[in-house]
Amino acid sequence: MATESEKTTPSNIPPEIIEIILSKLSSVKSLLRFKSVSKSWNSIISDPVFIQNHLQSSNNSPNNNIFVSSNTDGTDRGFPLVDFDVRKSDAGKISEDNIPNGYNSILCECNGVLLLGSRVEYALWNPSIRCEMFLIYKYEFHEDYIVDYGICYDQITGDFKVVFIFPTKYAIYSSNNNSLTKKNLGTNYHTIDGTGSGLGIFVDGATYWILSDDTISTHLVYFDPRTDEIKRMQKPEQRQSDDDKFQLMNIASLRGRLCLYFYNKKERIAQIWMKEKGIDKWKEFITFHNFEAPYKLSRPICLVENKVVIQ
Amino acid sequence: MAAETGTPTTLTLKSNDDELFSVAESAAILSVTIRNMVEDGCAGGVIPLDNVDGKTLASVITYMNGISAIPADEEKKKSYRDKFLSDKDFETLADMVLAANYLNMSCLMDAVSAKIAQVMEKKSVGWVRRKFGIENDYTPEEEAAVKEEHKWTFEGVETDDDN
Repeated sequence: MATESEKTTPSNIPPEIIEIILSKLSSVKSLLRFKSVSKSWNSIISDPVFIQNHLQSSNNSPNNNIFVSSNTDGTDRGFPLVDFDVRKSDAGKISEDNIPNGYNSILCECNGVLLLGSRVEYALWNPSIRCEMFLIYKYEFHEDYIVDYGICYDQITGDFKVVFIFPTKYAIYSSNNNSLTKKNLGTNYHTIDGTGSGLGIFVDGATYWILSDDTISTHLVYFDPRTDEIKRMQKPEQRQSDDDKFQLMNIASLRGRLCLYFYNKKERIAQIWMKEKGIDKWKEFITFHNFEAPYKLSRPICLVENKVVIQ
Repeated sequence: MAAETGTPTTLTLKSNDDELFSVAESAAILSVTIRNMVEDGCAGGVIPLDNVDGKTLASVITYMNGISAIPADEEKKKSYRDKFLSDKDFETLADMVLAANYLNMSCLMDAVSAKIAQVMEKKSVGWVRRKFGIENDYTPEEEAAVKEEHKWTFEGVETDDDN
């Protein structure tokens, strides 16, 4: 084979096909390296639409089972990372040398961008391009405690918005404008019984949380990046009544779709509901009987072929 | 024309270096380009494929026959494609991606472009320029600046032996 390939007749692949090939490169590292190939390659790879499509196809890829636990505390060597594959699960680390100084916890994640916290400040960090952005000092929020966090990516403006939820209000940090906006919630929200913060997940264009109000009923709420508002979303009809024995325990993103995880403690039944993309329609995805939830906090984290991995 | 009843129709394809190939119509119409010609009734005689050479066309026909013999089972089709592409070198893959594009065969196009991407994954910038025939249009200063900006992406790159 070596001798045959000595002939260096370079292929004449036109730019539109080059773009298709580049869009299939799975590693962002290679893409960034190939910006050095030529000016036209650089402009293909830097194009916002190309970046968007690349992100989308890696989000939808069945191999997208790499997982960083939210609310993960780091060590000085890095943050733990788990990669689920069909036959094995691999524990790894996020590039230890490159964790920005002093940040010791991952609070939440959106499109590969992580919200980091240190003792005194918050920052956004993108490990795949090794880029960090300081957001805000914690003392700016001194008057209130944080119920939960979330990052939301606005596809239209390309803005990563970080949402901090307090009991009666919320603050939005726009990384495009470098600005902080505070708004009222109009109600009181708390984390649901037994869970900590860090449950906010970004999926299908919005960031979702489950929070409880003063009457301890649980709500599915979401942040809409178009209007900067936090609203409630209807749960599946079958799971709405107050005497329902299923309790909404957690949310997850499976293959790019929002999922609700319910648990019926008495009958030991767990159920996952899945929302269709783009519309508010719920479908029962899976029900397990005789399921003893390992922890109260357990949540489905990914699908590996036809199996659900529950943490 | 004579296609109505049981007997499978065979098409004759001609490469740009004048090689002739016979292939079952049912397999050949995986190519939308060929299917359109058949539907327009231009497939009576020989179908000239001006952008594909004989060597590549032979390979594409092997693929057409192989994949259309597999029943509708995506897993099996995928493993056939993986196996079919596994021993192809870069030049062959490059010819095939051009042929798949010209013939408008989306399944082959997807598989070959993904394979090329996989081959490129750990390759150096120099390797890519050589294989794709790309002229470096950066000034030395510009090139150094782009490289410096993404310095870490050059760690762990394969050393430049062609293969």
